[in-house]
Amino acid sequence: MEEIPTWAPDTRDISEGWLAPRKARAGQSLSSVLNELPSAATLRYRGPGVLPWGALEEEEEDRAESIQAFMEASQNETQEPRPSRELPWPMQARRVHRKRVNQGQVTHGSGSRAENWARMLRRSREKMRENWRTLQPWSWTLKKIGGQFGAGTESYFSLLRFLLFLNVLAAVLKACMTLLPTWLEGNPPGPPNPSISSPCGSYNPNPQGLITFSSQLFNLLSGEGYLEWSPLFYGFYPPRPHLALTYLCSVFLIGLVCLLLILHRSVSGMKQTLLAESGALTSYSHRVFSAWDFGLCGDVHVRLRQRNILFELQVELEEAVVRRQAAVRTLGQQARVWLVRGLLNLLVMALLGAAFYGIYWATQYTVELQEKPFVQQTELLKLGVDYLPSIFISGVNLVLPPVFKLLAPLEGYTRSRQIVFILLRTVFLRLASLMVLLFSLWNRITCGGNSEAQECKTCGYNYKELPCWETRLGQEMYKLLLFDLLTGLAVTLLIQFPRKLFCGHCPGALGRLAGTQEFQVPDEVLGLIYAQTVVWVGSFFCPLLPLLNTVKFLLLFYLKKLTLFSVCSPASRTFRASTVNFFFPLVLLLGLAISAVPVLYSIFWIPPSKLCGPFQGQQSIWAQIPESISSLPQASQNFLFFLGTEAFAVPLLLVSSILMAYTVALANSYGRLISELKSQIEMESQNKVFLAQQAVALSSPSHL
Amino acid sequence: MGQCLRYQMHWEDLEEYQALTFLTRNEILCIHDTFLKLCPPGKYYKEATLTMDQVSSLPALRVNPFRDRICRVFSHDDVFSFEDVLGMASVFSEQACPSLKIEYAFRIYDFNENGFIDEEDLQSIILRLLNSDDVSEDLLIDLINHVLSESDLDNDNMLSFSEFEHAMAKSPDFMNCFRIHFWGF
Repeated sequence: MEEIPTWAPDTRDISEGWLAPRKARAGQSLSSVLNELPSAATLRYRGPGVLPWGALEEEEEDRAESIQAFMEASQNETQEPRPSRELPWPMQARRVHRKRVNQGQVTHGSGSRAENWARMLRRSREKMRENWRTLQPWSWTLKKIGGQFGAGTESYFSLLRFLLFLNVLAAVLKACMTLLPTWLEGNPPGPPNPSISSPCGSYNPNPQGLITFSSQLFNLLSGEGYLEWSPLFYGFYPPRPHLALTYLCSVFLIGLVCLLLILHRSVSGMKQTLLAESGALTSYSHRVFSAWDFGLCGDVHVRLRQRNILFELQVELEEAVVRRQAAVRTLGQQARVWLVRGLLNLLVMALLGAAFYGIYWATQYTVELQEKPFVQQTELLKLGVDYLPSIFISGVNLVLPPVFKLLAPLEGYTRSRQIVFILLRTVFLRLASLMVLLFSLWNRITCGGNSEAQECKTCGYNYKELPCWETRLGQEMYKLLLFDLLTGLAVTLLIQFPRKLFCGHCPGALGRLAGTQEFQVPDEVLGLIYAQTVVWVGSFFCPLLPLLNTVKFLLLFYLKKLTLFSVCSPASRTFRASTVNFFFPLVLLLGLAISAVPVLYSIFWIPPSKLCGPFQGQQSIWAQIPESISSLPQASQNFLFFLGTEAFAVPLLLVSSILMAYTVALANSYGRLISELKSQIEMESQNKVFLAQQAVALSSPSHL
Repeated sequence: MGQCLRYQMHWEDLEEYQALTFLTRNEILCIHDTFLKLCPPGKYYKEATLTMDQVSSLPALRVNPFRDRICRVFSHDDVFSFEDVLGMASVFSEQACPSLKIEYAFRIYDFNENGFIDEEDLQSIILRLLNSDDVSEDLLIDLINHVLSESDLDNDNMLSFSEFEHAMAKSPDFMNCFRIHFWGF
């Protein structure tokens, strides 16, 4: 029997128990049998006219035969020939294939019309997608960042670009729906006359007397003075019915558009992560094969990257050890671990509670301080007192997350779970501190929800303190936005750059340690989401806030880019892009949901100010909608009222629940199918190996 | 951004390359530019070839620990023609489909070219990744055992192509990692 040359060099002795008797025996070996299986065909065949891979000195006829067999096999795929560029062949082979496919289409009467349409639609969609990708700004910058700092940092900038797009859209919508109608029907009136007294007090937004330059500047920073009666805030807009309607609808429209765009963006990221089976099962293969980011191209950072990979792999193995230890813990040890975890969680909650109380206290104290005469005289002090809540929130957000990072390792969880806990706590801190601020404001506006209280009885809100409470809310959000920007600038210019400059000259390891700064992706992303939540809350009360935020994010983009390239070294712990794509869109959605609560509450339950704004003199802000509906024709009125009844809402709820339950069941069944198929693959592989071994055993000379 | 000024490519060729690869028009032109800079002057670009060393020293590949494998997989007869370079850029481009990337990743990672990723290949991969000589033997063996126990479904101590494909299809980072931008540096 002619010996068919094997590829595997016989000196390899790893899979010893496997390879059938090697060198001296004639007959086929196991690996050569396995390599002729159809599943290995693509691996061997590399295109017409090219030597099959691994075939060193195959016979001429053998090669022709194998090529022939493959071409026949590939001609059997009549359904939908794969696009030529997806084939793993050299260019010449693909060219031939493409010609053949085009000829096939021509000779077969180019298929049915439906197929033609489908193909044209697909091609136009691909072209549109390609054009869209070239339209997006800064794509070159993002690729450069990804090449030097990794995919995690690139995702931050990609998120920033997306939020910028959202803000631009919101600003345009707001401008069309609030600014345009205001000036379309004639100039808006000036501020109310302070001498006119109404049962709800008087409102005098304009400052009296001579205004110094410094007080102008402080007014700019706190939104008072000449800014208070300007298109920036709610109070400026006149009480015209059309304007009121479009003002209200703009908020809902922006919320809906943002929701759809965020969902659209997060779907692809979530799909990938949800598809992956539990991370603990396949993490090693992923870490080894996807460890090296092929897009990296900076010489400087390669050494660092390799050290990081080693570090990550070691951490992964340590985690496996920790998991094994956790599995064999005795009852006493378990109790101790859980006690420690309980104590630490109590500590975290105490810290959070203290922080929230501090913010609440700061807001109350601000009011008291503002009454004091010496504060009112000194402009700088007045500004400081105005900004006290923002200062408190920023301080808390700067101090507490590092504390969480210190506490997390004590809990005895694996590294990845620690990161999740730290992130969850930081997210909770950021969003809840904003909510506490809003809660304390609500307290002041509605006298603690007590509509029978002394100050709130007449007008439904605290008219003495806050004659125009919506403008006040808008001002608070405006201050938060400005303060966030100023803090960012201050941290960059006063801490990061000097640290790099001075510590770069410090000798020794300490200097190097203090001098290397990393771009902390999770902290930065949470800061972005916080800023965006503030804008979403404030855009009802301060219509130009999205426009301001656009400018702020634009500044932030260039500032962060500059900081990144001049100051930062690549992160020591690579934050995987998949986590960024999965976790942070969820948090963004959470921010959107949370920001809807105060806005909806104000629209439905708090009576609007009687002296300012487009909803003056109405029961509630929402009351505008039923009024406008009653001016529509009867048929549309009936339809719209029907949408609000239980007869519509309950079936809708039922149908949604059924759909959700169905989708969950479908997903479960797919999961089960996947594990069944996996065990089938294992069984079939064992069958294959067994049969191949039998084939080798039967064909070996000892059996003849 | 890389300025791609001289394009001596015919329009039909450009259209054909766009249809046969996943590259955009700009990317093809930039690669053409880079190719012309590297190949010996005076030759028509369709006939010129680059050596493996020249391609290895491209900025996009220079620091890649697997650059020799990449060059070996994508070259024919140890040289790169223009179409080989285009093919390589197409596989590594952002728009390439996952099946193509997985196919070529398997070929790149198969160091001994026996059609399987076995323990020897895994050892080479890990050593290349870490690129240090002080990697302990235990770490290596531990890692190799973990990888094989996760992804080797038929227990033959090797990863066949379908097992590799099954493992990588579930990896959310694989598509992000397996991207190279050859143009504009």
